Amino acid sequence: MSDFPKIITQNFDIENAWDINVYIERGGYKALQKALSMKPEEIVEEVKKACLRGRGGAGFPAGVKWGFIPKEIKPRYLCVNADEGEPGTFKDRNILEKDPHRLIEGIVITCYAVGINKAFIYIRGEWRKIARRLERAIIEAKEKGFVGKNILGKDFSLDILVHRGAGAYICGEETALMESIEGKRGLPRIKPPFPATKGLFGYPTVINNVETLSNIPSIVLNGGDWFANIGVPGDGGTRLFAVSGHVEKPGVYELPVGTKLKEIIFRWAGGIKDGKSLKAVFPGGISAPVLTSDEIDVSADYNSLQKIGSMLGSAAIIVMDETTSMIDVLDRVVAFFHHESCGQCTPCREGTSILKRKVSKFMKGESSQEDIDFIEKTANSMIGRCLCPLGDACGLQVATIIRKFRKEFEESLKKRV
Amino acid sequence: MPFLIIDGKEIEVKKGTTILEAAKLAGIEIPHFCYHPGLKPAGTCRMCLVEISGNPKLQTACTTEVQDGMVVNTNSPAVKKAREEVLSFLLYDHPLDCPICDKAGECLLQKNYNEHGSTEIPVKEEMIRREKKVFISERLILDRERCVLCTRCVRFLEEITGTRELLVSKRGDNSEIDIFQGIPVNNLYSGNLVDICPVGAITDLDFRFKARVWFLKEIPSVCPLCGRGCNIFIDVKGEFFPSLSKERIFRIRPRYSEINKYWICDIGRYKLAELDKNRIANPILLEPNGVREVSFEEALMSFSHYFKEPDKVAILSSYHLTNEENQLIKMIFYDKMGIKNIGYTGFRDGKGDNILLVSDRNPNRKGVKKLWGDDIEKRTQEVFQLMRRGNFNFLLLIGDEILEDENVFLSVRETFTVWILSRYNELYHNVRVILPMRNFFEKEGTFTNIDGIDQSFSSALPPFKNVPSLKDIISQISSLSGIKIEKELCERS
Amino acid sequence: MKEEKEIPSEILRIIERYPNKRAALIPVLHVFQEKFGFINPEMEKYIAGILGISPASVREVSDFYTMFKRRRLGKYHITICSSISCHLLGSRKIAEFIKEKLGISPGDVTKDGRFSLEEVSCLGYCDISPVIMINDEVYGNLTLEKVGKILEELSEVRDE
Repeated sequence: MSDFPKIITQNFDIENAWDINVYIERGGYKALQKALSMKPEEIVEEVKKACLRGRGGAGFPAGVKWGFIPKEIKPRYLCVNADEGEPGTFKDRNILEKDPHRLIEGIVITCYAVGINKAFIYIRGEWRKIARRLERAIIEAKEKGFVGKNILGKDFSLDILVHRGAGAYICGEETALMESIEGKRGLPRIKPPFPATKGLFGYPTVINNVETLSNIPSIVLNGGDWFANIGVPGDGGTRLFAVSGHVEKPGVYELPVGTKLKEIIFRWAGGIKDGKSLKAVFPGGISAPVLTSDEIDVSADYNSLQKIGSMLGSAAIIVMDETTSMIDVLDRVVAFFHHESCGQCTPCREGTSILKRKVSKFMKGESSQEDIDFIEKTANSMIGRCLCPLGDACGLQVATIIRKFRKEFEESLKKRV
Repeated sequence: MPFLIIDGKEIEVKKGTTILEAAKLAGIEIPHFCYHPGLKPAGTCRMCLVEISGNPKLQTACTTEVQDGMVVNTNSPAVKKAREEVLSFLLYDHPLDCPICDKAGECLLQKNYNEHGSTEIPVKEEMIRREKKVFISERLILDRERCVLCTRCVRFLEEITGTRELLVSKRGDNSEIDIFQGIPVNNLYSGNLVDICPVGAITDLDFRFKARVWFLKEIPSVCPLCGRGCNIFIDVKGEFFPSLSKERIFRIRPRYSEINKYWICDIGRYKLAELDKNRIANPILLEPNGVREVSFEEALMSFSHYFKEPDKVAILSSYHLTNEENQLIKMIFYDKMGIKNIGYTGFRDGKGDNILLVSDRNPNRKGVKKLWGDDIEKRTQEVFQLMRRGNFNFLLLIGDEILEDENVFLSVRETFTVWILSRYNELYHNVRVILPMRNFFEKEGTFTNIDGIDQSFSSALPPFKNVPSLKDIISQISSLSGIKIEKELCERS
Repeated sequence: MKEEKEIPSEILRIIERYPNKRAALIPVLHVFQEKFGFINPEMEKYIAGILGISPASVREVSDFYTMFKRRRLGKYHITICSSISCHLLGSRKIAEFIKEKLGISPGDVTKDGRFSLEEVSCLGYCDISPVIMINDEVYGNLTLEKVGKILEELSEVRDE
């Protein structure tokens, strides 16, 4: 499978591609010019045909999402989710650092297509330098007339505001993101109502991930069918797979949707470091239930991973070798969810708290067989009960790790006695 | 109108009704913590999860609107399990305070656990310890260990009073209810926080450790401290009250009505019990050479002759009397005994707000106006004028509340004054005769609120040391004055 | 209540980009955090006054987000990623090394006020794990040797 286009990463190896002049030289902002000559509905159609599924983790078809925005209500908003926080994910960061204009161009086209005049880029607070670079890029784009009032002479204006987060993973969840922009604690909202109906400040809102929007210029230039034909039916285009952990070549790999997980790890990321063997993989960040080494012969697309009880999510592939202690892994997983739980709903708030205490006890070697059973039971009690996917994901992940690696946990009890 | 099938029951509801509300209408109770009918639903406690056909995930009944054709099951095995597990989560770090917690007997955690909890004992670690006595206002105490973070208190102060003093600090299991330092809860509706807290996390000093709720009896009544007429419950000793406490009024709580919905203000809640303090038990004669308690007969004898000259008699009554008491005053004093100089007064206006409190601090001004005419205030001013000119030989004051009017005291010293009231106060030394009567808690009757709504209430307490009712006193006065009106009195009772 | 003309122009510029004043809260808190190194109750009250919200509403937000601190950090604030990818590539050893070298635990500041330490969730630099950030700078592909060098260099930087 070596014959696929580089859509997102086409400028990654070019020095200073974040400079607008370099971007324009390499064909940048041509898609915007084309888009402004099309009807907004036409653009939405192309994106629907492209089968572009959200790249943030939920995988909702972008064109369909845009279609939910009611025609009459104004204002409407676009929120760009640049709050990349799922452990193991670093693909959006690469786009923001190396090719921010691709994102900006995608934002302008999207706003034109949906009739939006104000966009917020929610970028995680820790990335202050990247936020500054993004702001400079927007100013550059404004100076050239690609952003701001009457873009390229058309009756379409767009204001883009970079809004920094302040250290809360939960703000990557779309409704918590909106709460945060509104100046409140990042507490996810109950859905329905959905953002398309009642979103930012109560108005219809589209929320899209950085990578999702970065695909839009190419889709406009080459058409939706072209994009859909890369990838698998219903899940078009390429994806940025972020591979980390015990691999020879950690990094971002742009590959067609549906590339085999095994291939991504062994062919592209160089296989397991130092000649070790594979033990386990998180295929989509730590929110994706862990896979054992004999479960990786699976196509990396949303449906295939769902079928085997896991998920593709943010396509952050975390590779663990034979030396990895799954108890340590469980400890890190639980520590993360416990730290990032917003605390609103009972099962997540209390569940992550109990799990943290129990797993800490395990790490100190003070646990018993009962404790393993109780950890599993507690995790299972969280699944499907929580207000947002964080708690559900924590429960499912912990339950899966215990289920698939129970022997290791039981053995460790014997060792520590 | 959407049509819902819930646990096999069919019900049609208005668009926008949630499953939980629809269930209530169908007579089905769905357990909850964070839901409160007076607040917007939050959906965070997860106790009200129910099964909706066609939906693989359980949904919160309090936030889900009924769609036409929805089929809901509130008792499936999955729902039962979810409830058990949510309760187990809440109980894991909940202190076993029931033996000393005021909320026992009214606690949603107790109730929900009783009805839906599992008896499996968890493998427990040490409970997270938190502060148990945080003053969030002068009289409200927060116990953070008991708190289940339903956020009803925070939402009440956002949605109802708009004062926003409480906040949830931090996140995850470090979340705690807190105030901004130096800015405690400070509004007229703070007492409602105790009612809405589903557990014993917020308690008030007023009631703390005073009584177990199952030894109390609740009497439905109406608050007499302003013209709104909020409906209340008065908690008094029940049949099996164990101790010899002298306390008679234990608690005032809101009672739902369209007038006040689920709330009452702190004035009614905390000041009402004072009406039962400093009671007068017997008639008192205040003479130059001393003060002495006398019998009713002796007291009445000291002034009944004044009624022979009704033109020289003035009566000042109170806007706190019931419609029935006012009718009696009109029928006996005005119609039968020919006393025309009758005026009404009461507490001065206070500050009102746009929530419940009305500036008119009297419960029955409307009722007085309905009976005597809208010009009663003008006629009262005329009576005051005549009082100042020394027109009267005898002045009869009825009610504790008239003491606020300065006009009264300008003339009281020069005229023979009799005051019928229920409580001692520092101003009674200016009168000649004191006759005790029953207070608000000991009578029944009707008030007409500022919107013209008549509200009846019954008595909450037996009379203090057998003091008579106003009706008794008036009938004794009238018979001593030689007026036979037993027939009318019988009709009135 | 401070009048409009007393509000610093930097803050006014932020407020006017949002549809309502409350939405400006997090960017305004960032301004104070970056200027003073921490957020205290006086600042919270002041911010509440400018934005027309209760101090409790400001406190809720400054408490929820981990980047707003209650006391001044060191001149060089070191955040160590403690999530899975960095952990797999030896972040714990790096953390122990830093703690030993500086003689402080996460949450502390060195006596000379030069360094402070915090363990944080995934910073999004897993391609160069293990990673630490020192103020706004990212240091990846760390070895104990590299970390030692970084700390030495920063220890020698003369204060202005």
